[in-house]
Amino acid sequence: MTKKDIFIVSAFKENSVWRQILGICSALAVTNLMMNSLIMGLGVIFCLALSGFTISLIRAWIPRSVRMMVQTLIIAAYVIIVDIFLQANLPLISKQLGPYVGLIITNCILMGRAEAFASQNKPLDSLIDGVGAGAGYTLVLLVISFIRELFGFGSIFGIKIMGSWWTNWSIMVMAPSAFFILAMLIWIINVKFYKAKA
Amino acid sequence: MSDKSFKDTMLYPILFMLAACIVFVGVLAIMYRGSEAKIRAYKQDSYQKIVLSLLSEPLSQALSMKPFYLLQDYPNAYNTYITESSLPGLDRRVFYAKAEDTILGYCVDIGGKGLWGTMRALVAMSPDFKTIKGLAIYEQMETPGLGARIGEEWFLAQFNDIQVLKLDGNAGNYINDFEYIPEGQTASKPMQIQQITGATITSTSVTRMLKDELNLTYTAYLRQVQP
Repeated sequence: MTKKDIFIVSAFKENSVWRQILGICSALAVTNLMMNSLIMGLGVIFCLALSGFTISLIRAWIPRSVRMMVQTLIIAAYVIIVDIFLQANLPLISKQLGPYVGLIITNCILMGRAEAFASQNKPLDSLIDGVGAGAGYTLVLLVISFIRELFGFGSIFGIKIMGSWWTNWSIMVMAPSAFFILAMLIWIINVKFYKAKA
Repeated sequence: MSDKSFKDTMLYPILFMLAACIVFVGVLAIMYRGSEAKIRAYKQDSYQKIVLSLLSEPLSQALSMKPFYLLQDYPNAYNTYITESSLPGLDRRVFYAKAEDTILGYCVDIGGKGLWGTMRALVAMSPDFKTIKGLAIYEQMETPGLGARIGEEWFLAQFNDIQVLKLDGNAGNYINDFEYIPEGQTASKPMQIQQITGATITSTSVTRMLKDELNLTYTAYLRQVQP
């Protein structure tokens, strides 16, 4: 597989969210505002790419018996780096995301890619796979948050789109709306791209 | 060959994990130490700016300058006019604004339970603790778009200049009850507050916090003026 193929497979064809149904918890939690989703997505891309790279780099030395512990340690280290960076440089966003940045550690996409890809492939390929999987995840987050923010707040990236006639839909602000939107998204993508081919 | 056999020993995973921990935790510790001062400075700055802005109205009147310029002058204005103090028997941070030897207002750090977690707020009071002069919620975990709207300007502004002290108050019961009216309705009585639609619990949490904490504060204030 070429580098481009690796990216396309992990970002779209085998997308972690709509294909493997991973990382759902955070896809529901942070998608009420587009800015939060974008920052969360960037954080996940960063952690996925670098943890994949690092795990792949030392994969020959990682003892089989404790490999999950090592992977978790590496993932946690990168997540804490993101958390410290946000606290120091983007304090407002850090405050808005609250505990969700820390929860990247338990995002199943990271362990999934570490186990399925990074522990068996070359460092650079793992880095690209991480960026791809992260980009696929971010894409889903942005689509959901676009719908939720537009209907729930009448804005996009905090900029008012709807006029004063618009009444915000409270349901869009709350978690259940993310369930519906995500389910419909997976349904549409499956029907359009996967079932059609089969 | 010898390398392979060492990797098979029981000691290898332990040593590997130990080395990995030292490396990664070491890197994090260095990074954290490097940013600690910046993080703490930011937190302190944003906190002090809230205190200053809550007390800016009486201050700007006394100094006959616009509140905007007062806030522009942070941290100078804060250091010159705001002092942190305490009230006897009250375990809260208390600040007062003073200009030309007159105390112009107090600001108290209060806390209470919201829907999802604790909320913390700063409330500015008149020098006699009878009237709320401003309210700011600086920490809350309420639902975005619903409960989190307690941070919006219109909601907080409702508390300005509300005289909360009962005329016939007695020990531990000095504060009037708040009364809620639907969002968008105009208040017809002094203690009426527009509730946030879809966030009843959060709205009442705010007034409950205010009532409880101001009761404690006023009790402490009385202890100070009539020891």
